[in-house]
Amino acid sequence: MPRTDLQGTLDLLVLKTLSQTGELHGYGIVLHIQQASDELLRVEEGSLYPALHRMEQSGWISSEWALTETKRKAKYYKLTAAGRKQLERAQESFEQLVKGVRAMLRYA
Amino acid sequence: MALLRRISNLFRRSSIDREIEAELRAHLEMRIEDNIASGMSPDSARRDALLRFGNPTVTKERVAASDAVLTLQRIGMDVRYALRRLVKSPGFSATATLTLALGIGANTAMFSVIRSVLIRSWPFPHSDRLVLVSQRQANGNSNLFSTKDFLDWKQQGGLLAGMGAHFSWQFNISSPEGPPQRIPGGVISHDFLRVLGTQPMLGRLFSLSEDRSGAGQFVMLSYVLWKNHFSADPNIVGKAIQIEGMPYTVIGVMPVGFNGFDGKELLWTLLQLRPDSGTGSSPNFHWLTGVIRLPDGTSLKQARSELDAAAIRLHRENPSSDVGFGVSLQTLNDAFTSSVRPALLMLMGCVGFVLLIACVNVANLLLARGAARQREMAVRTALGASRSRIVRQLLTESMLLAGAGGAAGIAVALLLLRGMLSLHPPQVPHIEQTSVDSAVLAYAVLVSMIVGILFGLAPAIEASRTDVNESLREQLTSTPRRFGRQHSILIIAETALACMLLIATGLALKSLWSLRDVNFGFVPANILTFRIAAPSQLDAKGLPDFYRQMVEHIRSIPGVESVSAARDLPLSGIDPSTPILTEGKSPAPVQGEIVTRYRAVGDDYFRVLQIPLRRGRAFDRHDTASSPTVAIVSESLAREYWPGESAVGKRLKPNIAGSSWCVVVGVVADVRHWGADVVVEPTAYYPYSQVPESMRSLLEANMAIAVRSRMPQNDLLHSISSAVADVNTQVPLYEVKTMESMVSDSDSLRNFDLLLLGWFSFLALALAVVGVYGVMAYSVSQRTREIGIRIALGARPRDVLRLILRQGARLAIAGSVIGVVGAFLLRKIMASFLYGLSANDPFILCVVPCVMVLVIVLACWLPARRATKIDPTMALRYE
Repeated sequence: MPRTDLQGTLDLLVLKTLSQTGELHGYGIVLHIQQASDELLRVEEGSLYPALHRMEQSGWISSEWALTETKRKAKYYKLTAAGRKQLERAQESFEQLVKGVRAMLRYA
Repeated sequence: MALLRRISNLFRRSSIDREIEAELRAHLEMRIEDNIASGMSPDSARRDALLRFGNPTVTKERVAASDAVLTLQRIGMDVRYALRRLVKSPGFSATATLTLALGIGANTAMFSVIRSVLIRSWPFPHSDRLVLVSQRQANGNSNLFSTKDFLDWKQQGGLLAGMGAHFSWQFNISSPEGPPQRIPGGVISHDFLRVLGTQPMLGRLFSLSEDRSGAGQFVMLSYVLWKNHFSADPNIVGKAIQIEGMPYTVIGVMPVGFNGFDGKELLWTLLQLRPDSGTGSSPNFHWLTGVIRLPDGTSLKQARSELDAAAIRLHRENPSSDVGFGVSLQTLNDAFTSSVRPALLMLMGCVGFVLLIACVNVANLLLARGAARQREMAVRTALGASRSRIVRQLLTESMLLAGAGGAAGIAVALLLLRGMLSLHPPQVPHIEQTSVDSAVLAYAVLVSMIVGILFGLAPAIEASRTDVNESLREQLTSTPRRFGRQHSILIIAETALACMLLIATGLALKSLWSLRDVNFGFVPANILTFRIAAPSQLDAKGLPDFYRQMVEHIRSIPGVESVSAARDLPLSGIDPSTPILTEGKSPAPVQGEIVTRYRAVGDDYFRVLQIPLRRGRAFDRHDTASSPTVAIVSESLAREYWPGESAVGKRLKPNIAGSSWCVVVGVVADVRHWGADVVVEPTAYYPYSQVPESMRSLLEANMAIAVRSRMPQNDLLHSISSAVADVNTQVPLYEVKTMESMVSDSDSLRNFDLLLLGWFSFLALALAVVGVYGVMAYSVSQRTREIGIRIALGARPRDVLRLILRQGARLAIAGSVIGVVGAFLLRKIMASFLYGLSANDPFILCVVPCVMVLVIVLACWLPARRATKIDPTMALRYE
């Protein structure tokens, strides 16, 4: 049974973003998700940070402080090996979920 | 690794906090910059960023909460905050702690008693597999084994093959210096110790070859006896020691703490059973306790059906014998605790009620406090505290209170235990071993935690339900809050609980009172009793002479009114029973046959105990071994066998080998041999000089002697011991007791239960009264303005008084009604505890609730009086 909760979806979005962009800070992740989804998905900005910290605790992502282009100090996150594996798993289970929901919608 | 990270976070708390803050700030600032870049004014850029982000403080908390260790630290902060709050209101904290301490303390004390008495482990490995076996007779009574039955049953094999036998006995051990000592011990079959499963510390267990008559005499010592009497001689095994003036070879020494079932036995010798002759070989003499060990995987039920089958087989083989029709099996624990279990469980239930009432009280206090703290909660909610956050904060407070209550409760438990043990009744097994150990402490902690959640949850949820807008708009004290539904429910609940406890106490008191009037059938005042052991060299013929001589010497002491020897005195002894045959009655055992008590007594027995002689004559000195055999029967026996006619002159015969027909010469009043609450059993008395010779050594080895005299006890005892020494210097005199102390001992268990029940009920009532008082006082203070207006509008003090009292009375009546209904529903449980009294006593069921309502209304009186004193001008300016 794939995880169907929204938290799992947010994790997936964050992991995917980091796998595409390499290193990014929280604000950048918010912007990226928004742009990449053609403005369809909007992350509630506050709720991103508990998720980031939780994923860091789980060892999926790592972080370090660095300077932005505008010379501001920000915390940059990047994917670890475990995070890459987790991304694959999450992607797979999300696709299962989508398939399942589609099938339901078709026959219901 | 994640764990390591989490733990290392613990030491970097403040830096983490700062880091989270910096990260969130960076986010907000980047958003603001972008907003300005897209053309917003700095103000609206900031506003938009915050709106998108949500409450930064809350976010920070949530980020921190994703770390377990940080959560722990939050709890630490909650605890510190709660501590500060509790210290700020010492009155509240002290009241709550004391209330909880009483509840938790009573519970902990009761639990430790139950633990040591009911669920204590025996000093034998896997003692839960040990089962006592006895025969169940056709009339439903269970019976010990006779020699023949025991041997027959053992031959049935299976579970019975390993059955061990035990009989309690007292041994004379002579020591070089001083008089011989009387040592309690057991006479056992060789496999008894093997069944119990404890290995000796020195030497080995008995072997089968030693358990045969003629094999010699062998003894197993307990650690205590070995240490005290044989100065812990490491080479004692194989040596001979003197018991009853005969040499016994020591086979082994049992380890520390092994003292038989009753915890008092100090040595063990072998039964060396023979079916044809020897001690207790009469087929109708039931004297042996059987014990088996269930193999793993065999349930008590399976064992019972296997043994029942064996019993039926035996009965078919030999229908004339009184071999039982079935078996009765009891686990070791059941056998030794069944008499005290109902009372102890009932008391445990009582303290449970007391604890509930204490919880209700504290919940009430917290609710009242919660109402006063509404604004604080509203402010917290407005600042972003979630509901669960507030509940957690308040629960922390109640857990702290519970913790304090638990700690104080342990002190209360220690005090209570000391009190309980100082009056400990001798019939409660192992109660003296009660102590507060780690298990009891764990129980106290667990109870405190449960209690903390129990009384804290409702007020916490209630407080978290605050409506922010309403509360913030309200002036601090402007609205007189309605007397909360929760308060009413809690008052009703505690009234009901206290009412049920009081009903239980009332019923128990009444049943005790009815026992006060029970006639024991003898007069215990001015009787001194003791036992003496006949020298073992005496044969069956010599025994009656020995006791007659003793009695004559004691009778000649000036000041002694009367004296008699007897096998058993009321409230003591082994009290053997046997079926009797009567002339004109079929000798075959019939369904529901009455088994009669067999009492071997001396001439003056009825005079010493002042048991009224109803008909005929008492025994006298002409009833000797050579004169015609006679008997005296109790009224109940006479009624049973010879209804409507005089028993005097009839003949009866006890079903014991070697006994002959006895002429009934008298009828005496019934005696309650085992105490006021035990049914009267049909009893036949025989002169001890006429006991069949084969039974004498068993029945008369250590007889009791009762002396009626008004002399001071010490003088009397002194004269008696010199009189005994005149006859024989080698006989020990032991178990010296007054008859009155034996009577009060027999009541002590009941009195103990009742005393505790009374105390617990009083505690419950006191807590309920204090609780109701507190709530009503709080309610009056909340209604100051309303009452002020009423008085301003012309209400007289009487009206105000009535207003408050009516409110209290309504709740008290509701609670009492529920209490009576509850007591009625629980009557089955209570009836098991009451001594022959029904739990449907209308008097108690009416009086107790009335008293309850009265007391509760009285508790409302003070707050109500205060309400009448409210000055309307002050009250209206009260804001």
